[in-house]
Amino acid sequence: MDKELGFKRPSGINWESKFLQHFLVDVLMILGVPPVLVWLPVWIQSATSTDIGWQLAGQDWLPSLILMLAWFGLDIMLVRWVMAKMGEFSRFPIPTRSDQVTFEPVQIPVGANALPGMIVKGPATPSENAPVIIVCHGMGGRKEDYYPIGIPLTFLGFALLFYDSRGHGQARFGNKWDTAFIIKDFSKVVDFIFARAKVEGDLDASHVIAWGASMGGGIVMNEAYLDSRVKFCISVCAWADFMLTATRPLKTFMERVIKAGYEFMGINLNPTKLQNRMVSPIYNSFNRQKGFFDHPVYADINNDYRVMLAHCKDDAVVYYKNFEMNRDFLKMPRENYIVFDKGNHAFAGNETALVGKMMLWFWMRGY
Amino acid sequence: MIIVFWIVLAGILVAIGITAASTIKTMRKPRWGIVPTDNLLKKEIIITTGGKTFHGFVYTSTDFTESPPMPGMLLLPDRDEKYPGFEHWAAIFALQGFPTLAVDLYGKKMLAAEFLDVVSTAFPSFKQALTENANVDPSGFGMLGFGESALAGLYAGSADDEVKAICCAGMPRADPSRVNDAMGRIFLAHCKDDTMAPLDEFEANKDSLGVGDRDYLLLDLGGHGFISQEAVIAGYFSIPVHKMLGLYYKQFTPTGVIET
Repeated sequence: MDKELGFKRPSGINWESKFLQHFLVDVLMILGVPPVLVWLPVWIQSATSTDIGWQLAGQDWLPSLILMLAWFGLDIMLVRWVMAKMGEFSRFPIPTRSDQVTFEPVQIPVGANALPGMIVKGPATPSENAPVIIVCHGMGGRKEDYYPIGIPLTFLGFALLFYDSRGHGQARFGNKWDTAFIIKDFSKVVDFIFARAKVEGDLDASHVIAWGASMGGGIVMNEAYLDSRVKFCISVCAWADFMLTATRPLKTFMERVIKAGYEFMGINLNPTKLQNRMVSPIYNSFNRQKGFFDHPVYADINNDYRVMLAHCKDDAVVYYKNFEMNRDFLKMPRENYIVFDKGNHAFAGNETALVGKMMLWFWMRGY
Repeated sequence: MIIVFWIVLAGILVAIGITAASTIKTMRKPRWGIVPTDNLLKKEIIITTGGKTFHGFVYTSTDFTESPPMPGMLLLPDRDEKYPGFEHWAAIFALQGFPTLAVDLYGKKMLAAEFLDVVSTAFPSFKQALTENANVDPSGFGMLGFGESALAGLYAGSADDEVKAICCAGMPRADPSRVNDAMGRIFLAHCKDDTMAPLDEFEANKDSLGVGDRDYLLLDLGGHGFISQEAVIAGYFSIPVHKMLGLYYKQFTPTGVIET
């Protein structure tokens, strides 16, 4: 479309965003302007030929040079600080691999394209009719992100299907910002399981469970929830109202950095009301199921069985209010959710506890 | 005017210092700490046995306060794991309803052989302390141990029929003569790149203890501390503990909740 309009924009950056524009200007001001300003006294001295006392060791340029270098040092420290803070989101840098677990790459058809998937099975996974958990990753993520959380479930007898959403990971089509399509693609993943169960018989299409975190949680709450072929849904740090979380007043500098990071990926964080309705479960899916023509219609849903949630109160990406809205909207029993005071969007330091709770949810549903 | 220079320079240097301190603090933040959730209750206890004193922490879940007595779990962290670095392991089982006693074994300055003797001798006292401090069904216990502590737990747990699941992670070579017949109760997890308890020690344990094909998890990477694999270990050990302790939970079904 950009070509037809006669211009080309760098792929993936949401330049239209006022927030991103202001953020970049602010960053440039912080990083770049002071080192220029420190030369002002030198310029005043030389332009007016007056001595205002701006000199060290008889050199008027020396104080300005020292200040400029000091400011560059501060710039470097600020960048390092941001990198250290962002590093808190990457908690599992070492890949999870074991000879006891098999990894089978698959292609999940979506129209003329395909989403790369990975079926993971463990020694307890039955060779026929294995219940399946579909794992949905977050925005800007990839299927491998949740191997450490998902793989232990193979020892409970599940087959795990991890997949890259369009525009993510190894997917060769789509964009990271195609959120509504990414959500809708989930039904194709369920179609794939049904087709595979029929042909190969290794998967059990009557036991399909959806698990997702962040955007993956959004996928699960919007699309998997509506799909009666999915038995139940586990949604971690998911939004309730996308616009509410995307346009909220940001409290900290890191929240601004994170938002800018998403907009650098091209995500539209200022959706229209219609766009918001398409991706927000409280408007789109809750207490509904797909009816004729796949259109959501109100239905009598047993949410006590169907939905489990987890969230951290200090989540800087999908802020906590979203969890409260989901919980209250679904009138969830306390067994169905867990909240941590800290841990941010990655559940940092709480991953094992989350897995422990997750196992309980499976046992409470007969697995 | 040059006074302005010194003031600005001092300001910048202070800002650099604050940013550097914050960066270092962020980077040196311990990987694991307190598990901050209202679902978890914690009680600190002191266990005195055989002239030795142990600090312990009893963890329970608020979701199970009205439940009948549940089987207990004993957590024996590695000797180099300091409180609250092991709390996240205890949280796994406590959140599943098992009252869990985590014994702080950090800083026990003694030789390995003495450590094994002291901890395995104290093991019955750990069970008793858990029973006295939580609503525990004393007929069934599970044990999760790491490194040398796992070895101590194995020696003590294998001799105790009430210990139904003995979970050992990163455990060094066990002396088969000190292990009672515990076939079917022992579950192992290990990383191939463990330098403290090398792979051949795991293989030897697997063979000598008669560990079945589904009763161990061998990961390629993670080292002795299971770095990046903690969630995998959490899930893996939850399964045999649940199975061996024969727990039944109330069931959420598509048609309603069934109390058990």
